[in-house]
Amino acid sequence: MSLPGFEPRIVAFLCEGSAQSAAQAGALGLPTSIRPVRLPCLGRIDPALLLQAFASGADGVLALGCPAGRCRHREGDEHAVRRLALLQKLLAQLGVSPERVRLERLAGYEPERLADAARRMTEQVRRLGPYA
Amino acid sequence: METLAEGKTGVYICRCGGEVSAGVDLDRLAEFARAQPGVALVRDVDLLCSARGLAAICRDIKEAGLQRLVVAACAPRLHGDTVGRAVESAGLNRYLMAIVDLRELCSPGGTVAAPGRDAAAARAQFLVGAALKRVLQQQPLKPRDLPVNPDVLVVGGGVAGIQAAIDVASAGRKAYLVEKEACIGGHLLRLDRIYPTMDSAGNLLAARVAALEREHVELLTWSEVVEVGGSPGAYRVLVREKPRYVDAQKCDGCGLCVEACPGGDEKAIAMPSPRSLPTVPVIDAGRCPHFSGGDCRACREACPRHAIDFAQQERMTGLDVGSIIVAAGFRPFDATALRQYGYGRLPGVLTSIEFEQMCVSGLRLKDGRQPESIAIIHCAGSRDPRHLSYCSQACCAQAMKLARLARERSAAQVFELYLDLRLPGEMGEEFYNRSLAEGVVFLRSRPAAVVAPEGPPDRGRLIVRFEDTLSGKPRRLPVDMVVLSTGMAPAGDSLALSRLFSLDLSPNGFLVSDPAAAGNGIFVAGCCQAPGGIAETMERASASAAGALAFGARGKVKLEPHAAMVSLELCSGCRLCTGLCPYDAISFDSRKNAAQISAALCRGCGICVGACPSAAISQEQSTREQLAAEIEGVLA
Repeated sequence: MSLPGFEPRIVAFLCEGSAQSAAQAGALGLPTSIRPVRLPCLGRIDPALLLQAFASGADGVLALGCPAGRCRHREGDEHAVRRLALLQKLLAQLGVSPERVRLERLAGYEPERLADAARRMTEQVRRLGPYA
Repeated sequence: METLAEGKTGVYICRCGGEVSAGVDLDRLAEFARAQPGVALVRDVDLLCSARGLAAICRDIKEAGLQRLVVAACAPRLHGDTVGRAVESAGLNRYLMAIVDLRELCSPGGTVAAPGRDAAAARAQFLVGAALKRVLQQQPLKPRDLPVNPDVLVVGGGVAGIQAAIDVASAGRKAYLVEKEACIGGHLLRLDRIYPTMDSAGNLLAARVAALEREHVELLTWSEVVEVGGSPGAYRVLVREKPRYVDAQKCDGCGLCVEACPGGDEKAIAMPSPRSLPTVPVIDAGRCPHFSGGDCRACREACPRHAIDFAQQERMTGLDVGSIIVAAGFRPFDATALRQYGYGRLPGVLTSIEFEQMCVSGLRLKDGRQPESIAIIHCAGSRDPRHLSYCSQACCAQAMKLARLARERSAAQVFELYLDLRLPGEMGEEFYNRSLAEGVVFLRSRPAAVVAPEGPPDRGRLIVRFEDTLSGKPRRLPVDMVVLSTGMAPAGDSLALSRLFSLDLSPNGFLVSDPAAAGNGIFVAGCCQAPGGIAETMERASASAAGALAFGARGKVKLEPHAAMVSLELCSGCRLCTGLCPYDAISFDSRKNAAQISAALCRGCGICVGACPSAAISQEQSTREQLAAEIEGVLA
């Protein structure tokens, strides 16, 4: 059940090597719910950064990195996967739905996948309602 | 339009010659920016990257005393450096500037009525707002100048790699050429002639090989790059050389060992092509009885120079180079995937390369007769979403060349079944017209199937079933031989190569040569980059060599300041980060009980920053404070 008129705000961490290019190629497909923040590699992500997003008023966090095995920094994407899993456990313990956090993988030439991920995440967070 | 207010940040909004302003209401954006705290001045400029636009920024920095800048224009990779240089010429450190990709992220394709316009306008506001918050957290930084080693490593000894290595070496620079096969030449070794001149491929190779020797290119064959370390301009590359079981220093290439090998048609020791390099044989340990417990020493006994060495081990060599040209080549499309054409199942169905080789060894059918009719099927597996979705550029030309070869070496009637003939360039049309005049028959079609009839009248022949798309009629064409003109697929190890050399992959799996990689001294050449013909491949290789030479000639490489740094106060000495760094940039200082990061080796991925449990690592241009400000800003 979603609240009428609730427009979620989702911080999208974009890997510079992939998702940032996809956003540049297909910004038209991005709803205003998506609030992009560029990172040098998704491997930079850590729970503190994600909690920062929630503390600053985000209703969800979407981490967008390279397709599996395609990270230019070897394993940055894998580090992100593990750290997000850790954060999701932490969120659940705090009584926050782990579904507010999600990782998607896409290449720079896949703007339509970015748009799709953005739309699905927006719907998901809309169902969950505001974080605060 | 400009407004002066309290504060020292200047905001520049670029109309991009009307391309951005047509889609987004920039007046509203300027109004928004003007209302933000700390903004001293908002200016919208018709074309920021023009001399006039840059002069406006420089003037404002000096006259209005701007201390920080937010530039809402295009992506930093396009004009970030142009604007950065101008800003620095006016005395402001360029790292006190934040760039918003207004053009890419907020301009809905030009027209005011375009869908997504409102979203784009909203996004422009929160991105500019975030940049204004972020820029206050930015610090002046200095790029690091590192000396560049002018030596160049070329990976891949096909025609592209050979050409690149010759160009580098003839400019007086050291060139190393690493090839994974036993000799250089790549696919050129399997070709007979070259389109459109019909010159000998062997002669081209021999001439290039002679140049390679003349210019003292250092060859490492039977070798692969296994590790790339170091930093841009000072790479340390580890190359693994497989054992040949022949001492290349002693061998003079006489070939007596090959003669002596008792393996019959399946000899265990073979000499690479005489036109190639090196002319040192290789023992196939999988085939040689000596390596499966046998006692055969025929080759060793035959060698007058005692060059056979069964105990040879693989050898690691470290190379210090400043830049790398990746010319790893392509993989021919595997025609067995085209079940409808019967490749591998029906005798008489060949790939173009097999047909070309048969033209050299003798154009014969299985029963020894010469073929009377040959069908060449173009685009076999190409321009087909199930296989190679793209056009490989060189195969139409190759198919035309094969028709000419077939006509030279037999009396066969040749049919070219094409989808579209793609023969661009000065010589293409002439080649086509000559083929027509010589009696080659062109049929426009993508054939449905090739079948071998069991009974008369066409028993023993092959039937090509197709629809002639010019007449719209289904047809059957009985021939003696079918040639599949196949395209080029990315090299099988392109994913591994992309990771080894930190390169991106295209949607089809080719290596992408981008300015960022080139700025680090990593260049891409030849068909690993995109399929192409020989002439084009050599041109692209020369272009990459020129890039590598220019990179080396600068003497210094400017490293973007994006290094991670350890705070000695916060580091607990847990060493979690040291194993995580993909570039071996982190070492442990046991005296200080803290990690330390080499700024030269750090490539700025931030993996260690995210991993540090004490938040003791911070990264230039992505500090916690900067990211926090940006997060707060986009959420406003």
